[in-house]
Amino acid sequence: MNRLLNRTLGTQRWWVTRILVLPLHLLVFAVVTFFLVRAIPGDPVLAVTDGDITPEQYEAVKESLGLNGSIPEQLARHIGNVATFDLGDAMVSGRPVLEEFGSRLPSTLELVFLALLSVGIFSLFASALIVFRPKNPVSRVLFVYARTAGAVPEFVWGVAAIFLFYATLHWAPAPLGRVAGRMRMPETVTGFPLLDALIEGNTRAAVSMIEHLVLPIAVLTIAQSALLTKVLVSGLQEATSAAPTRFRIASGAPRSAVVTSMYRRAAPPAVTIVGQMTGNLVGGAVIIEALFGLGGMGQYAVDAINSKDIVAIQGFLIVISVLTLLVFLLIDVATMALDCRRRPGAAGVAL
Amino acid sequence: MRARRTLATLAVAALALTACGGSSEAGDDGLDPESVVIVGAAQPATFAYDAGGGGAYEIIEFVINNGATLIRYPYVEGSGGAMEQDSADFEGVLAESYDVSEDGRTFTFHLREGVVSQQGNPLTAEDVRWSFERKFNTEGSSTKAIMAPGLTDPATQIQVIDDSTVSFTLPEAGYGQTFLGNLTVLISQIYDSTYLLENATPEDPYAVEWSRSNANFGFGAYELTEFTPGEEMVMEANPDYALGEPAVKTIDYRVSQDPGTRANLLRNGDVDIAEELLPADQVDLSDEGVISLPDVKTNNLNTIQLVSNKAPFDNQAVRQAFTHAIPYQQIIDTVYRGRAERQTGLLPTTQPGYDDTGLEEYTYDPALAKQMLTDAGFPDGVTFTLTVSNAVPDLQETAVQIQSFAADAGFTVEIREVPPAEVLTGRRDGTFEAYLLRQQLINLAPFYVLDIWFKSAPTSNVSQFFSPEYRALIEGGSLIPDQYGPEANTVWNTAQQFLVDQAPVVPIAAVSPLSGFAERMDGYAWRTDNVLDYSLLTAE
Amino acid sequence: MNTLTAKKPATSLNLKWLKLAPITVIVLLAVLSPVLGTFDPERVVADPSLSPDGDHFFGTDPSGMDIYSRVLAAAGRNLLIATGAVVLTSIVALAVGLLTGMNESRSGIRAYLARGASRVLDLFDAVPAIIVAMVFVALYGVSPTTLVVSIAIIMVPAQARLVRTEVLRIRGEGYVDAARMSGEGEFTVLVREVAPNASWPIIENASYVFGVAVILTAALGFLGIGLPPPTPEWGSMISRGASDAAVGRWWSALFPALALSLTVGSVALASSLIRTRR
Repeated sequence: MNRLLNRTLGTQRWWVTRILVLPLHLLVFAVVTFFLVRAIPGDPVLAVTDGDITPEQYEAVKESLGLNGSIPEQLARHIGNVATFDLGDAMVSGRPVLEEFGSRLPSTLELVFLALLSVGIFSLFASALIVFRPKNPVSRVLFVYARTAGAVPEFVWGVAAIFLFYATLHWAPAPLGRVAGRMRMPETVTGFPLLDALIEGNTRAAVSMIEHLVLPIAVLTIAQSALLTKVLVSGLQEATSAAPTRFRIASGAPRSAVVTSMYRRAAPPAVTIVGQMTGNLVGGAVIIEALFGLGGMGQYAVDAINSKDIVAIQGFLIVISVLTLLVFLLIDVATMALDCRRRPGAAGVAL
Repeated sequence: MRARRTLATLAVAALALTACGGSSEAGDDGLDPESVVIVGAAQPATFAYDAGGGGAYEIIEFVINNGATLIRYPYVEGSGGAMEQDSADFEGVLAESYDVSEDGRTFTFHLREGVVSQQGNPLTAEDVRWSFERKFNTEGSSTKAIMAPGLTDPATQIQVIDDSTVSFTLPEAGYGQTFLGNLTVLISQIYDSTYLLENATPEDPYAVEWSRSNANFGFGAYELTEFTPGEEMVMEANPDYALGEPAVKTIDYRVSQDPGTRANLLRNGDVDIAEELLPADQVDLSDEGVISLPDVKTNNLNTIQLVSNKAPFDNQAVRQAFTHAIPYQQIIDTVYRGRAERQTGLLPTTQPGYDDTGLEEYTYDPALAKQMLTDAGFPDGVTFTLTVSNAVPDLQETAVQIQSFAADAGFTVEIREVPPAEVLTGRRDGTFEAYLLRQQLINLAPFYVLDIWFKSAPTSNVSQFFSPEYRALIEGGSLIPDQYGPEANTVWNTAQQFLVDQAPVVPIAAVSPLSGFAERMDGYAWRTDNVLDYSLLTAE
Repeated sequence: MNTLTAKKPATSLNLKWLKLAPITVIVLLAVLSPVLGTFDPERVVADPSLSPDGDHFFGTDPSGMDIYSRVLAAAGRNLLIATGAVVLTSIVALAVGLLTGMNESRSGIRAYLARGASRVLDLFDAVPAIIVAMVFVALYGVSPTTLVVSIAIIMVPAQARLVRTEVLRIRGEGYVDAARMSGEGEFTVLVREVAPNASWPIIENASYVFGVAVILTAALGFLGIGLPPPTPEWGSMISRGASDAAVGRWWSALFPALALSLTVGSVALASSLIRTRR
């Protein structure tokens, strides 16, 4: 098997196989979701219907939940649906789940992406400061922060931030949505709110959005940067004493080159952490969206849970799983690109 | 050093953005009087009420503004100074007028001239007939249950006389008042049959499924022009509306699930109207001068429905004891901050000829309750589960208050919160022991009020309370031609006394309106469905 | 004996144990909450939204319940759930880690299953914790049991992986081979030799699991899908307090938030002690 793969794909084997495995992982998620829903105690049809329900209606609802037929039939149908992106119709609204997500997911993704950028920048600066200017008081504060910040969850930071920066200091705008009060959201082109505002040339809306995003992103950054900062710091400290670095310094390389090489050395574990952190950010975004009224997947998911919309919940889990798989794929590929030793099939370190 | 400089630059940039953005936050001074922003708790999950899907507040409000009925209760100035609907009278909307036959059984409606639908199709009597045919043939529609016994078979009872005349014939004259009341409410929207038939399919012959997610198939005052799921919807005034084009041309309906946030939006000047506020927030806002609160008694009743088909509430003595275990005034004061009124019985006290003989208000009397329980054979008290919707915050608060204070009266209450759909299912199946509901009887005709919750069919009886003598009494009353006359009112009074005594449903308080109108807004009117009629709104 | 190593400096010993103090205090407070609380934590006892004063140290919430008593009562509940989660996670992770570790490099069906199981667990590690908890709660309802189980599901993959790594290391150790050669059956080897030595990572990491459990319970409560009211729980108290905080009534949210942060912080502090011991 190995030899066959090597011969056909050659040096590109490492990332191609990684991508090919993706559908398999998705299959696993689909199967698990399937059994999770089937394991609900009680009769899900009765639990989710309202109004007078005749035997025909019972059958209809059962069918919409995918519960008719034998278990293998259901499983086959379910997997087929997932493969064709048919996530069914949400029970509460009757609209296709994919359509409901389609209008909300980009919002959340935009928030996660911006937060990721913010965390990255913050961690880079924080780690640089801690490692290169250890005596600086800011460094000390950051160092303590990196060790302990995991204790305080996002929503606590969020409530504190709203209380401090909005209610007391009036620096931040009201946590009441993505844009200022009466402003209308820009035309939907891509579905990403800020991007759409920029495309439309609507600077007022764009500025308003950025204002409203400052506090949520700051909260997410503070909540999630600790881990990445820690990893970068330890990576940098390791790099400081590593032989290649000392060689570079000794041979008179410019400071910027040394620092860059140190970061490159510290990068792989950091990139892996970024993967995990993106997952945490998605989770954190769900909470922050609720707190700051930003629309998006989080609120939809909570509503679906409160109204026991099983189809929507199932779809939600699948979509998040796909998202996570894609993120991890990207991370894996990035790590392997950065460090040839980590590619499968490479000689040397066996993982 | 470079790191620090870049950091500093970024910080300054961020601050600058906030500063320059601040001016855009202040809002324009000249707010457009023809454009209004409303914030509600949710968007309607469906655009067609008869497609099933529950009767949540936002669905009702959308449907009555997007659609229109033949007649409605007129708006009159109430005793508190606010506009309110007079539930004993009718005025025409899509119908210009109606005649009643000699025997009181046939109602002939003359449709208004020149009325066209939101799609441009003229209103015809055939639209009326077809609309009811659709409602009666749709699974999941509550029309059939509600319109019985007055209207049971549209095919034989509705007659199209000509393009602008249609008649309904009822089996009994006494059903007339109830029937007319039913015509005013949201189940009786008239549809643009031409448009819907264009979108019908063999599987969906009345375009019911289609109309769930496609609006503007009627004759209402407002059309839906934009819909962004989860965020906002825009409705624009219909220039061809039967009663004239509304003053407010654009309604921007936003959603925010948290009632505290809705209150803050009002406080911040970001919205003109906020719906479904917490009473505590309403009072705060009023004290701050942001809003003024209308003074009007509503039919929005908080009730506990004691399910009588099983222990412990199959025992009348236990039910009666429980009526003394509810801290009515405490709930009104703490949860509703005084913005609720006690009500005894189910009928509105303002109805013509109202007879309150022998109707005594329940009191919170824990000692009495304990005594009654002991006498009934429960010296150690009674434990039960109180089910409440997880979507209505003030009901959750009420449940907490009841739990705390009923303990002193010998009742140990466990609170169970469930989604609204599950409340409806459990209610229909009679599976709960007791549940808390804030509900309105939209049609306030006396027979309807006394009948709708206590029908013989188990699925239409909210507390599984079956009493043949009660049924005989009110059905006899329904045959009396003058439903507000002295003979009828005596029957209604006897029925109410029976209900108060048997206590299958315990009214706690009628909740004052929960919306907040900013200073620039006018045009609030109380409706029996407790939602807002946008066509009445005016703004400065 | 070398006088330089005869005595450890007294100060370093004392300081180390101090790390356990905060969590001990919190546990004590939680256990003693019925006694220390001043009011029934699930009953309406006063006017709503009173600011802190002599009667109500932390003020009252919008329902009129005493925040001080509720914060204490919530401690007990959150800690109980977290402890349950740690226990369940540890047991399951140990079992799974042992099985995968011992069987992975063999040949045959067991190996494939073991490798497959590892992979599946890795996959689930990827999905954000709060999402898993939300879905689980959505499908199976909310109760202390479902919370414990969902937290265990979230944390088992990472813990099991730690055990597995340890098992892989231990398998090469001398005493394992010695035990085998002295005639011990495979299962006995597992139980007597491998398991005790492979458990260390779980114990070290138990505090992390504990912290996550507390935070997840609170997060669910914050989103409004946690334990039902009037159950005192820090997350739902913070959520209730959040809208109060936005209008300047800081006490409903502050005290549960402090309690939450202090608890998770002290758990982290205690865990650093365990780590240095090893």
